Amino acid sequence: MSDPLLRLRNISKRYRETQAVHPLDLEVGRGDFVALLGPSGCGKTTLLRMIGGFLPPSTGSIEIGGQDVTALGPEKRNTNMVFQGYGLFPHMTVAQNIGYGPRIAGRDPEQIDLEVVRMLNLVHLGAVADRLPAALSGGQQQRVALARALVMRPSILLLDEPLAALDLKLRKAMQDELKALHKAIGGTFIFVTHDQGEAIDLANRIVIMEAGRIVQQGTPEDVYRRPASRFVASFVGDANMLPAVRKGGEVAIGGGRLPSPGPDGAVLVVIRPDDVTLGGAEPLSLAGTLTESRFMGPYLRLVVTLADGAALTVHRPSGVDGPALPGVGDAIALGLPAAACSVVAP
Amino acid sequence: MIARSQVVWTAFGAAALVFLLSPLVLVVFFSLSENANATFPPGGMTLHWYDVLFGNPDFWKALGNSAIITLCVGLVSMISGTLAAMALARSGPKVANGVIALVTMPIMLPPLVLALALATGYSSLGLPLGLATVIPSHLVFTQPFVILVVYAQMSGFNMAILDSARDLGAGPWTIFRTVILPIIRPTLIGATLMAMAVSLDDFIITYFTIGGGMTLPTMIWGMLRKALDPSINALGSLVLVATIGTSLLALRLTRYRG
Repeated sequence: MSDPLLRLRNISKRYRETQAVHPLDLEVGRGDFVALLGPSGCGKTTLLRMIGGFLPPSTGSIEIGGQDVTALGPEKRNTNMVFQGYGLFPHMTVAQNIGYGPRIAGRDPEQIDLEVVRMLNLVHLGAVADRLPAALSGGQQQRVALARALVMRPSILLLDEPLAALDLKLRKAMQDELKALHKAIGGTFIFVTHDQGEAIDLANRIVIMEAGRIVQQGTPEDVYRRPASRFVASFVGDANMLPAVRKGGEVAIGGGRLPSPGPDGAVLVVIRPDDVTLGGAEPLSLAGTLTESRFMGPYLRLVVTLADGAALTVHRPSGVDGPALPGVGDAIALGLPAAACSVVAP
Repeated sequence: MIARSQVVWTAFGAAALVFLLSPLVLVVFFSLSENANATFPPGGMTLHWYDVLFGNPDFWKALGNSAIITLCVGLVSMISGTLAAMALARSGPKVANGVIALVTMPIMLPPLVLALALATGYSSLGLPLGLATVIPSHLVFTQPFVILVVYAQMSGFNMAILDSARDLGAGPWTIFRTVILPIIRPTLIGATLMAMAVSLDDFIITYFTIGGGMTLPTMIWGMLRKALDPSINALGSLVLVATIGTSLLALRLTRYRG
């Protein structure tokens, strides 16, 4: 990135015995919508809190817009955070919550009123402006927290598991709303999540963390189609992993060879259930027995047991007409499109 | 059957209540009766004993002392109790529980032992007894109330609230003024009133640490020893009303869980 908005250099965090975040570098460009994705305890929230200034890093430096902010607290940084529990002020109305930041900054009261109204409209909360947070639904509280942060016009908006507390339906609606909001105001958003579906849906860049380290970053398609490790392959989406051996830059699988540069030895070939084809037309193909077929709504979930006992999951759209499927217990041939296969260390 | 046992238990409860509360009622009752011996028959109703009490210069001295002590104790225990509670809420529960156990020890000690310890302490330090020794002595056993009540609320405090205030640009003092104080205010006032009520009606510790002066409770004690002056009932009634009033107000305020 030529001119990143946020630049982390050699950032790490150590608590007495545990290394929460190992030294890492990260750059975020202006206008990016970045997901920090990983299982709980991977250090993603620690990293977010260091970016926001709530935790001093053990090593390294943080630059925002070319300015070193490592030593500045959150009150002096042009970042704003939407907290996991929202952190709304229980004794202030929705409008007072949103106006809090501008008010203590000593801005002109009339200007503040205008800003608050603008924010209330942006997050569709005009009707509840005079209610206390306790009288709001979870989704509404979430939107107040968003408006309260956005009214500060942060150069980076940080969101800590923003949708985790909402039920599924509301979460989907808020995902759309967040995306629309990002588009409308054109800001830079960084959010933490453990939900890969949420990360893929919202972000234009996903940073995957495992045990305090960044293990892969890229577009949602990158990390889904070309996982860099077994962990990424299994954490992002469903994956079939077939053990194989690499020799001389090629991996032997499915009666053929898959070009794959790298040292000789055992590897795993990763292929998504929706990429496996039925029938033996592909150069790389496998034969097995259909052992399970389940209707999942939009797709059929097939489980095929190979000769060596390994099981392969295949997804097939349920609505399309095609060659009739063999019955459970019958032999079935599977094709592995070479472009859809990636090779990772076991 | 259910009805009968219900009647029995209700009667038992009522009898217990009468036994517990009747002395208090009698104090108020005799403070208003014409009979000077505080015996039955009470005779007519009169405010005469209140007149006698208000004509006694000692009463005004004692009232003044009680007011000074109670107000000072309330103010100091409110401020220091809040500071202590905030510090405790910030330290982990392990440290907090240890400190609380230590700080609340004075309320668990027999008051007589505490009074003796304080009196001995002051005399070994060579401090002359007076209001200046009564006030810190009262703080020893009133402050724990404030710390306990305010800490209970602070420890249930959603810390994300403080983080978000900081995130929105507030410094420590602004956070306290605009966020913490408005949220804990009712609890804080309630806890302070509780501390003041406890201070106002304390006798033992005041008696041991005040030297020659007197407060309302020590004045009652002094009057009891001399002669049975019926205006003592008037004084008792006043202390009763003041203490119960502050306590009720305190309970009402601390019930708020915002």
